[in-house]
Formats: sequence, C-alpha cells, structure tokens
Amino acid sequence: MQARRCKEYGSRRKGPGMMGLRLLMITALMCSVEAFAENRVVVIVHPDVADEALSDDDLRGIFWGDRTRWRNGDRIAMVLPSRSPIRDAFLETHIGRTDAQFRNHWRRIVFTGRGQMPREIEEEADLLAYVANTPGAVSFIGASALQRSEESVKILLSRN
Amino acid sequence: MKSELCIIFLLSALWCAVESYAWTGDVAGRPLDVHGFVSQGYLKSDHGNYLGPSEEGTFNFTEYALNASLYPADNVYVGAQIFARRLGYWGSYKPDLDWAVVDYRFKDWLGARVGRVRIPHGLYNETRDTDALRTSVFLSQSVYNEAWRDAFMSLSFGGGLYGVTPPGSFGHLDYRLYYGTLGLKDNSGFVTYLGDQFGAEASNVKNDDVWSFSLQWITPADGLRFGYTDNSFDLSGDLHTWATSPSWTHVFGPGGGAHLDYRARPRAKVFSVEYTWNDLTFAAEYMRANQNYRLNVPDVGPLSENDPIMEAYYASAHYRFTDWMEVGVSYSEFYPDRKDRDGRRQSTGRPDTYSWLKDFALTARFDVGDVRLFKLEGDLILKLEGHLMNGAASLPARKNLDEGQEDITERNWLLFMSKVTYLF
Repeated sequence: MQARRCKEYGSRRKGPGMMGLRLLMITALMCSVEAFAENRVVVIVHPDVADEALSDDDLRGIFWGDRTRWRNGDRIAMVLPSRSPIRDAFLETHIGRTDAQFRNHWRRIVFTGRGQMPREIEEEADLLAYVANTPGAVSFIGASALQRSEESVKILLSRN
Repeated sequence: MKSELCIIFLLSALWCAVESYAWTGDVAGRPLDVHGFVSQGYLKSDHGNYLGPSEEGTFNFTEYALNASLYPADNVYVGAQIFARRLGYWGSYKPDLDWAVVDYRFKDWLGARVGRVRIPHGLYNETRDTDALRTSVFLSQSVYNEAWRDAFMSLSFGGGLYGVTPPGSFGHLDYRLYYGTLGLKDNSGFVTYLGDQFGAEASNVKNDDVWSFSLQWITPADGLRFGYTDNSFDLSGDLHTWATSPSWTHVFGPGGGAHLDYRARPRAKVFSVEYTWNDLTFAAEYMRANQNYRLNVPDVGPLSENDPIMEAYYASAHYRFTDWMEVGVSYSEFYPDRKDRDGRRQSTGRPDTYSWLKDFALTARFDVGDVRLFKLEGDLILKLEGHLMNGAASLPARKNLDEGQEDITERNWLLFMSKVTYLF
C-alpha cells in the first residue's frame, strides 16, 4: 500500500522529460504520503545509485564514514544539509547521535589524518541539485522540500 | 627538509582557505580541506610542580595546529598537520610536523597508510591533542600522561594496514596494525620521567622498533564499544645516575655518578569500554605496561634486569546539559610499579608518594558558540577543571626540589586548570 502511495506521489512529481520516471519512490520510514504530510526526513541519492534500500546500520556506516562504497563498488559521495531541525532529527533517529556528537566524530577523523569533513550545503535547492548531479551522492532532506523541487533524485527506503 | 615542505604546504593551504572565505578550497576540482585550532591554558597547584611551575601558576600552556588534506584520487587521501605545544617544562612555540599521511583505501575493510602516522593507544590517544573533542582539559593522566605525549603520539615514520568490517548481527570491527620508528628528544617529558624512575638523567633515547595494534568492537548495542590496543617498543639510551640517589651510592659509592646503557622492550596494553546514551558518555580504561629493561655498565657488563609492571586505570562520565554546557567527572589511579603501590620498595631517594597518583577530577566545558575570527568561522570553547590529587607519581622529581634539594611535593594536593580553544 505504501509503495502504491509512493507511486502516486511519483506520478505527481512527473515534470518535463524523464524526471518523473527516474524519481524512484520506494517506501517505509522515509517515503510515504505520511512522510510528506509530516515533513519527515527522506534519504536521497543520485538517480544512478543501484541500491534500493538502506538499513539504519547502512546509514550509520555511510554517515559515520566507515562505509565509502555502494554495493556495486561505486564511491559514495556523502553530503549534509547545514545544521537544522531536519538534520538533528535524522542524526538522532538514524545515526543515534546528537549533532554535537556527530561533529566531534568527524573532527576526530579530520584531526587524526583519516579523512575530510563531510561537505555541508546550506540551501535545500543547492543540496538537491548536488545530489541530482553528483554520481554516488547521498544526503537527506525534509520531504516537503523535495516536493517543491524540480530536481531528479532517488529516494531510498528503509530496510529495518 | 621534508618537514619544511609540509609546513609550506600547510601555510599555503591556510592562505587559500582564508582567501576563499571558507574552510575548503578546490585543487583541480577536488576539495582541499583546511582546519586548525589554537588553545591557551593556565595551570595552578597548591603544592608541587605538575608538568610546569604550577605551584606559582603558569600560562606556559599553549597549543596550535593546522592541517590540510586532499583526495587527489577517489581512493587516495593525503594530509598533514603541524602542531606546536608549550606545556610547562616541555615543548616550544615552534611547530613540528605532527602527522603526514598518504592513505590508499582498497576496500572499506582494507586500507594502507604510510608516513608519520598517529599511534593508537587506548580509545583516545590519536585525538588527545585536539582539546575540542573532549570534555576535560586533559584526558585521564593515568593512561594518557601529558608529559609522555612525545613517546606515544606518532610514529616518526611508519605505516600499516587498517579497516572496518561490514556491520553484521555482531556489530563490526575496526582494526589498525602499524610498524615504524619513533624519535624522542632529550628534553621531552617521557625522557625526563624515564630518568627519574632510575634516579638518573636520561639522554639519547631512541625507539627504533614500534609495533602498534588496535582492535575495536562496535557492538550491536547502540553506543557501546570495546577496545584493545597493544604497543610494543624497543628503547635504548644513556643514563647518568644521580650522585645523591641511594640506589646508586650503594653500587658506585658515595658522591659518584655513573654512566649506564639502558635497553628495554616495553609493551603497553589498554583495555577500553565506552558507552554513549543520549547526552551521557561513560568510559573506562585499564592499562598494563611491562617495562622489561636491562642496565649495562659500559665495558663491564650487565648490572640489572627487571620487568616492573606499570598499572593505570580510570572511569569517567560526562553529560551535556545544554548546547553550551557539558560537565565531566573522573577518577583514576596510576602505579609505576604495581607491586610497589605504597613506595616501600623504590630506592631512588624520592619520597614514597612518587609510587602512586590518585586523581579525582571535575570539569565544566562551555561552548561559547560560532565565532568568526578574521575570515574563518569556528567554535570557541572554555573549560574549567579541578583535581583532588593524592600521590606524586608522574611528577618530575628534579623539578620538585627546593634550593636545599628537598622535595616540595605533598601527599594530598590540588590542581586547577583552565583552557580556552578556538577551533575551525
């Protein structure tokens, strides 16, 4: 049922060209009519990412920096929205950490020579454009912002 | 020369970052990440000199660092950091190359890095220089003695393998295995401590053969992880015995100092646990270090051989009450020789209290918030910390003598420290 609802939403999102077709709507915690109604957080990826679903363990691995590749071996390009209630909600729900703990984790990586700080993008439109145009990109955004956007991104479902 | 090139690279990177009004610039379309921090602290004790002339109170507690990193290819990371620290009797304001790494990640579970690589020791050694990453001013001094930073921080040159296993029903594993060499300066805190332990001045201390292993189990229970680190060293150096030390006057006669060769194969193991639940983090670590040394009299032969076991442990908890305030509490114990917890067996001429240190500490951390300094945006952090101390182990004995060569330390003493850090 939820999948059908997503398809319905997908059909509404069909704009000019192939955009609507490429917008794969899948379901569960992040993709449902309720999600959009409540402005829940959805995980978005570049349309060419082959993965269809992610568990919280997967999300934790990706946003914690432990996992750097998709299942087909393509490189993951993780990007974050700037500090916001949406970001707080995502980190606490799916990563199990506060924003301060998350930033400290990445500072540990940066200040010990093990990686770079994740890229942060302030404007939602810019974030969507980055994910739509960067192979391997992954991020998250409020469902209502996605509804307003013309960008073509793929939404992943939860495997929990 | 290599260090100078790295410093030029880092300063150029900082200039790029400042000029672009951001932390990140681009090099051939790939982000160049630049970060750094500067800290100033203050130490004051009511009795004894801890790390520096703290009995008078000292501002000789300054740190700064600057790092830059780049992914020139998808799987290749290069980065370097310069760091300077003036802490009491040790260090200077002149920056040294702190770490410099070339890293290739074959798979998430297998990567290789080479260069000046941080040594894993306990859960927090690799990040101990970055004040903003913890609640307290210092990590627990039982396991992370600040005076010994140089002996545990980074391999002068080395490398190895690392990786993270995919998550499964058992959680996942994070491992590191490194090998390399480690240079030590005569005026470093560790070399001073090493001499103190023998009632001698130590010099020319080298560490040519360092193996470092770390394994962390990140359990399926959210926020719970266990760690194990194992570091083995191959130390050699010279000892010039104190003419006043009873243990040496017994051997060499009154008033006569002597020169000894020192060789050791110390090995330090740390068992760790950390649990994070919402804004509360609990950590406990236990360190056990075999010292496994041999003393030789040059051109004569072996003098003594021993393997005292150093023991240290602590438990700490910190809680973030608000976005701007965090409070921490910790208790630790440290014994240079676990079989001599009351100092009856040591014979260096120092008071018995140099055989243990018990430390109860309270810290308040205040995150003042985002602050723009010149063109850089960063975080400003203020910390206040108080310690109730019992014992004097890890205090530099020769820095705690009055004009009459009498020890000035007390069994019970207080230490206060404060620190302000700007990190971008």
